[in-house]
Amino acid sequence: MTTSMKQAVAALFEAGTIQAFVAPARKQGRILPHVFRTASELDLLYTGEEDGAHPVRYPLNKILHRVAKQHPEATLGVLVRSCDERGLKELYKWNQLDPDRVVQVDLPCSQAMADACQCEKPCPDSLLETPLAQGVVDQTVANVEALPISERFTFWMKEFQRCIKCYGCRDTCPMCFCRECSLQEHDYIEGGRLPPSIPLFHLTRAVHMAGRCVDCGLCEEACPADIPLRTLYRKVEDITDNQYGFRPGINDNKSPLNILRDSPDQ
Amino acid sequence: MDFLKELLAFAGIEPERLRLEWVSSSEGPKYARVMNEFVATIRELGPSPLHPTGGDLDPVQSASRPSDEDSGATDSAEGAAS
Repeated sequence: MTTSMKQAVAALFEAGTIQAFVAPARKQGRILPHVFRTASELDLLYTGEEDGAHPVRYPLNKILHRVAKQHPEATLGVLVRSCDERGLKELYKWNQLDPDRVVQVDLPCSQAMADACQCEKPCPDSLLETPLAQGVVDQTVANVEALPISERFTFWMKEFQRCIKCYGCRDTCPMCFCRECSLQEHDYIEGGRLPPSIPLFHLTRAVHMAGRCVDCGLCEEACPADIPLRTLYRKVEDITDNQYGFRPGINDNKSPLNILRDSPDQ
Repeated sequence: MDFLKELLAFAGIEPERLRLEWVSSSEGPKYARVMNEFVATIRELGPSPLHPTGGDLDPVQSASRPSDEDSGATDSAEGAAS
C-alpha cells in the first residue's frame, strides 16, 4: 500500500499537478506531520500500515488549511482517510478550502482500525466499491441514554471534572477554524479556574459542533483526561440529523446552521 | 429549542428547565401566566443539578428578587446556547 501510494504521489509531483503534499512522515525516529515539497522526500512517507489497528493520526486537514492560507496559488495534495475526507467536504462547504486547489490521495482503513476507531464509514468515497472494512455501529450514545436522567448528569460531571482546559479538543479539531472562540469568552466561561465551568465548557463546545463534527475522533485521542467527547458530539450530530436531516461529511448539502455566504473571504 | 432540550436531557439536565415563549409588551396576563407556570414547573423539579444547594439565595423566600426563582434553568439554557 505504502509503495503504490508513494508512486501515485510521485506521479502527481512529476506531472506538476501538486506543489506540496501533506501527510505524516517518519522523521528522526518519530512520526510527525510533514509538508512534502518534492518526490525525493517520499521515502519518509508514513501510511500507518505497519501499526495495525492504531496508526498515528494527525489533523492533516488543519495543516492543509494553514498551508493553503499561506500559499493560496498552490495546489496541494493531502493523504486522506475517510474521516479526513468528511472533514474536507465540510471545509469546502464552509469556504475554508478551495476544492480546485486540493488533490486527495485516498487511504482506506483496515477492519482492525475501523473496529478500534468505532468508525461508521472507514472507506473514502472513491474506494467504496472495494472496501477494505465495514462500518462499525457505535454503542456509546445508547449506553448513556440507557441511564436515568439524574445518573447521566453524574456520569458527565465525573468525566468533565477531569478536564484540565488544555483546549486540545479544539486545537486538534479540523472543524474548529473560528478566529474567535467562545470557550475563551469570559462572559460565557469563567477564566482562571480548573476544572473549567462544567458542564458549560463542554456543552458550549458540543453546541458549536452541531452540523460540523465529522466524527474523526481526534479530540478524544488528543484529550489527556480521556473524556468521552466523541459520545457527546455523536449525540449532537444524531440530534442534528433527526431535526434537520443533515449529517456533516455525509450529506452533500450545506449545514442548515451554516450562515456563511458563498464568497470565500467570509 | 428542540435541539437544546435533547442535548440537555442527554447531559442529565431536565429539559423542562428550559422554556422559550414569545410574549409581547401588550400581553401582561400571558406573561404572568407563563411565569407562574414556569415557576411551578421549576419548584416541582426542585434545585437544578447545576446548583444543588439552590444558589446563593433561597428562591422561595427572597421575595425582593423574584427573578432568581429560575436561576438554575436560566444558567443551563444560556450556557448551552452560547
